[in-house]
Amino acid sequence: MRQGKIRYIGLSEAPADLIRRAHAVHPLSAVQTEYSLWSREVEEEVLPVLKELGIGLVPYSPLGRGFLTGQIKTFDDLPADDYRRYYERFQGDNFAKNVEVVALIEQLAAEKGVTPAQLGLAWLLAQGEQIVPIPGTKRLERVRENLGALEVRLSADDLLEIERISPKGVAAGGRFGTF
Amino acid sequence: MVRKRKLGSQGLEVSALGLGTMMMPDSEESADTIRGALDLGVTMFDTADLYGDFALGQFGGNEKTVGRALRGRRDEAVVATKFGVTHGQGPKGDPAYIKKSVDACTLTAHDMSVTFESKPSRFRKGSPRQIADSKRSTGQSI
Repeated sequence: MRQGKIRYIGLSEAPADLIRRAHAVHPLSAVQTEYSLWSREVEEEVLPVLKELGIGLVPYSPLGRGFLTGQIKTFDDLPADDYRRYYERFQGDNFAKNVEVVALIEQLAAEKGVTPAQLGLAWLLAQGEQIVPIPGTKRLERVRENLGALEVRLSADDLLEIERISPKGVAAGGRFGTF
Repeated sequence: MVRKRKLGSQGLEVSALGLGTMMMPDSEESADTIRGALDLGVTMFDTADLYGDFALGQFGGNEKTVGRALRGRRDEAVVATKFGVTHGQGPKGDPAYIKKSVDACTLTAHDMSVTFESKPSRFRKGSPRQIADSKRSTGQSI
């Protein structure tokens, strides 16, 4: 920071008490953690603290590692060397349950004339003004699609409907896997 | 134009959606996607010392992929990198290691550093305090 090479500081996957302690040592600009329609743990303690302290939130895997895009219909859609094969939510019964929820999200997205990815990102953006998701993709066309989420306006009814079809804790399986 | 959002209260403002680059191989397509995203108005790019071409079993190197893609346009982008979690070397946060992470990208500057931290016990000897020290020693504000 002295050389001006680092201008802002953040933490990744930090619990609320660590965020408070770190922020007292040096102001944090952002905290990064997984946050999406099927990973909402951050809403319990972390997000309230970030709002209180004026710290940004940068959600990673905002589309559940691709699952919430609706592009992955079966386990075999994942290439043999795909790391997601080791994640609980992509396996067996969990996959079957999760894909049902995604089907409902796809249906709602279609009704609104948007893609499931755009709906998922728009929902995330609606959870707070200080939220900046970082969907990952290798392809520019996906970047373009994701940016479309910024044009999606969700009404209070839309948000309630999303909550109904994809309530907190809906995902079957833990956030991570075993390698 | 893509609208912006503020991160924190230190003046950082980025496009309301950033681009995660963790899964990007070090390829022309990746570089094209990064530059194309910048053309579309995306201004925040997220990388880490740890990231690389996982499919090839290569860890590290993703910062360089991002750095090279942004060469010549660095001032248009905010790059967020992460350190603290290493591949096989345990948690790390000493100044030399962090400097390597920042310089490795051939970037003139990183705008934001995010440390991978989860256990409070690590924080005592971790990197944020050291960075805070460097700030205190100059009295600069960010």
